[in-house]
Amino acid sequence: MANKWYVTLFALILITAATVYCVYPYFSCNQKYADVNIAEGLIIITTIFSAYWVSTVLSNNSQHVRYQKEILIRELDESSLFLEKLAPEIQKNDINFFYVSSIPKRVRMKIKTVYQLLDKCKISAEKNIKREIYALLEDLNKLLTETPIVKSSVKTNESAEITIKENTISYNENRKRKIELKIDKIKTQVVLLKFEIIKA
Amino acid sequence: MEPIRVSIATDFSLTPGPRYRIEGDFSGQEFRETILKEAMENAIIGNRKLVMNLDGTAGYGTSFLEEAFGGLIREDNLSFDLINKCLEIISEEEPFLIDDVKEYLQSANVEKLKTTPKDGK
Repeated sequence: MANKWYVTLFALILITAATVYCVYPYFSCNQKYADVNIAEGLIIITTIFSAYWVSTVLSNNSQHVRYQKEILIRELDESSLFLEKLAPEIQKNDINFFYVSSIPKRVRMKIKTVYQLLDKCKISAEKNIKREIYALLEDLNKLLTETPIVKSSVKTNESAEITIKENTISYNENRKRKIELKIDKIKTQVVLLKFEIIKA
Repeated sequence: MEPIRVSIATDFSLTPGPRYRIEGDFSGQEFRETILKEAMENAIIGNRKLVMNLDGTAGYGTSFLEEAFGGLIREDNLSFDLINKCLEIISEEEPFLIDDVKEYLQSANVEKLKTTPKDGK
């Protein structure tokens, strides 16, 4: 957006200079040492301005955007890291419940922060990815923590996909595969979001 | 009238646990039995609002919220309509949880109606 503003200003100055040159090609000011054509003067000013603009403003701007993108990518890398650490833990039995149940929220908060920063930086990214990640995280949370309602809480089901006892969870193979699949899907969406940010 | 305010993070635990007490600490069952049921009953009797804040915790397991809120209807026999009238949920960090809780209440009510024998039968 800021780039467009500078380009418009630059174009306007060039057009003004060209117009002045066409309308008053021989107009000159009386100077003591030299005759200075106004159009030429404007062209010199424009050249100086554009040289300054290209060297400082434009490069600063692009550097600024690059830093912003780096921060966003780092945030997304961290969210992927939560999932990468979780995946091998799922394979073991007796995982701590509180660790597992906190992961979906941690990832969601990272994604939320990324989208808030994207809005602040005026970088546009596909909103569908955000919706998709949120939905997948909700599914993951269910797979990680949802246990069935039992009338007598003493009852235990040996064939249950998930068993929680004394703050530790165990999953059967079927549930483990479902969780892995969901983690992979979320990671893919995070990669897509990274790609969107890089190309924006 | 001043509403009754309950924050799970400050009044119960920063790390809400599983569904049942037998499964681990800070369970949904424990929360319902020690805090939520009493607060809800007071709100219903006193015709006050119960403002339930879900923010500030490390994250909820799905069963925690189901057991806490759905259990009010399933286990404690509180009226779905009265709960709906009194309960106000705040969840700025994870706004979808508000709909989830409403869904748990709705489902528990539907299940309850299915199992309750109709009059005259």
